[in-house]
Amino acid sequence: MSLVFKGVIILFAFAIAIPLALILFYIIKQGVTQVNWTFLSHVPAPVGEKGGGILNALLGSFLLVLMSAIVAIPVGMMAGIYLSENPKTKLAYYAGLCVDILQGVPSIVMGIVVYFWIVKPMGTFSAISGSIALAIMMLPIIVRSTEQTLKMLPASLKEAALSLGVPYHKVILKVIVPCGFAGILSGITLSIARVIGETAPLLFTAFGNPFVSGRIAGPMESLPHIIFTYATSPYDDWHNLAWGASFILLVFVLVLNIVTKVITRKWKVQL
Amino acid sequence: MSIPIPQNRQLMQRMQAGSGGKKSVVLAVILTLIFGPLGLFYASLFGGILMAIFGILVYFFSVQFNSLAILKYGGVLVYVLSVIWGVIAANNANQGYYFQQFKWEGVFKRWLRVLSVVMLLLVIGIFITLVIDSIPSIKALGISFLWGKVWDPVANIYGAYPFLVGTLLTSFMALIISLPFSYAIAIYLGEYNPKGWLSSLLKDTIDLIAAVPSVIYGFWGLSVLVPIIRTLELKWHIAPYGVGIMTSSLILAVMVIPYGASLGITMIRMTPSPLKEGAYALGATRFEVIRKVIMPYTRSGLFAGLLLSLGRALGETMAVTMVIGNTSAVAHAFKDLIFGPSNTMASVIANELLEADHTEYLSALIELGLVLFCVTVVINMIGKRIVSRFTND
Repeated sequence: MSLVFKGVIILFAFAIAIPLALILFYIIKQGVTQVNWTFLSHVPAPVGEKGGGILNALLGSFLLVLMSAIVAIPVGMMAGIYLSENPKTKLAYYAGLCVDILQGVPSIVMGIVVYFWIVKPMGTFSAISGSIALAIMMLPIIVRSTEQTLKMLPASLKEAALSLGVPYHKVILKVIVPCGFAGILSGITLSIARVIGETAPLLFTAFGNPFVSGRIAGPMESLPHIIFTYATSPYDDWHNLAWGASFILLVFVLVLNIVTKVITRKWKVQL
Repeated sequence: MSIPIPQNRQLMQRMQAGSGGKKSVVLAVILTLIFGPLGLFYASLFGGILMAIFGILVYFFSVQFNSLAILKYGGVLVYVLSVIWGVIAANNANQGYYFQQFKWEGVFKRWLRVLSVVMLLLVIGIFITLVIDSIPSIKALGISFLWGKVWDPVANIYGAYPFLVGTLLTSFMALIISLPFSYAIAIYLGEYNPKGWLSSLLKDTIDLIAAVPSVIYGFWGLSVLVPIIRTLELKWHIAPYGVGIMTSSLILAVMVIPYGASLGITMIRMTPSPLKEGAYALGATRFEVIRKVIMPYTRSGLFAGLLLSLGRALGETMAVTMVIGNTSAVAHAFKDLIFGPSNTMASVIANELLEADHTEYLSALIELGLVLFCVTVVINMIGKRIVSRFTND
């Protein structure tokens, strides 16, 4: 009985690898053949024409994630520092609660909200609104990872620095944060890996754009969005484009996750 | 014996005159008035750099948004701020080093607090935005919106029932399908084989499943799973849509397995070993230990894992939108309901928000978002509460 049970457990536990393997295999099989230099350096071609690529989506995704990281990293780190430094205060309790709530908010709701906050008043879809939606999605991960990492540092570290007469902000910025840098960094890479594949908040905000665009006040294409629009289109050419884009997005996400893993293994961080 | 006092001349000087020596307040004002942010470099290097960046940003935004107003008002703002900063910085420089540091401490602490308040404001803002924008629909339809059976924007009739059914069916079916797998993973990694290369491989697999973007799941489902389901439906004599609740549940099940599993692993590992050892000492087999000791002990934790997976499944948008078929009608026969196309709250928002051409339609969609938000928040809160109670014991 015990053996049978163990067998069943192992069977079910490792069965999970099957769908993942199927998905990875299929994406790689369909996607690899699409990727070449033309694919990376051209905008999508109209239906029926050969060639065409996803340059607009690559650049757009890069810009969107960059802008959201610039907003989210300092805010998230500061809030995380506050939560780890003042765990007993009322504000910390409610802020922690709100971080939990933010983490659970469905991404589509985030899209709606930012649509009403920024897109409607501005009167146009814009990269800014998209990156703000992404930034809000990044925040909880960064806050939590910063908080967890800093909480695990020994109190003696801070006390030693304070006893030397170092001002509080320098203790935090020059002693505590560098000591917990690996944990914070892994949180940041993890959050980027998460938002780079988010489509739902971009549907109503960054919207999409068939051309290369650097205007952050205008609509901008992104990798997950181009996959969505072209995957649900009825044309085979566009499906192929979407496969290539999926492959590249998958590579990005995998690389970011591996980087996170390497950081956490090297510095033995617990997330 | 006298205690040697460190004689740090530099430090003494700094304490007396500030880090950069004496600075003239009048000169700072004149310089900033003439050169703006560039004149600020005299009084404060940091302030000068910050204001210069601010100025560049103002210019950048005015070009991006194609508006002269931003340049005008932003420019004036930069100048005024530079002058004020210059006066304060020059004044500060004349005070002692420690006085400055003391001030910075206060500023830093205040910013920590402000940015934590931002978290509160974000959540409150999200809630208020959703409520305000769904008021027209709440007013027009009231609470009966939730069980109105017809969703027909052309006729201006809105009922959320089809989407509630779709959402609940897909989520709970996904949960039931994923349950044995996530429990098996939790038991295997938590009890049978917590260390070693095989288990770390399995753990990496789970992380990978959580990492794959949902739009890729959707695309894969659309081009691989949908044809398979269609063939099966033909065999079983059901209308061969391919897309539908069954397909989305399968995809969702794969997507939520990591959430239940990873929480389950932590919970199972937290079972106190005296309990397990006691059971072994009484002659229990491993199976009996798992069934009679670990399972009862971790029941609430595993339940919390289920709740968190449910929260994920309810809000999942893209993968479901791509494979559910997007029909706002509810099928009557059970078979058609399970295998036929449908719509979830998230997918109907994703599909129709930008097409909503009148207020009531739009606000009905927002109200769906509000319902989704409230439900996921409540579910997540309960789940987290259970977890934290469990870990604190």
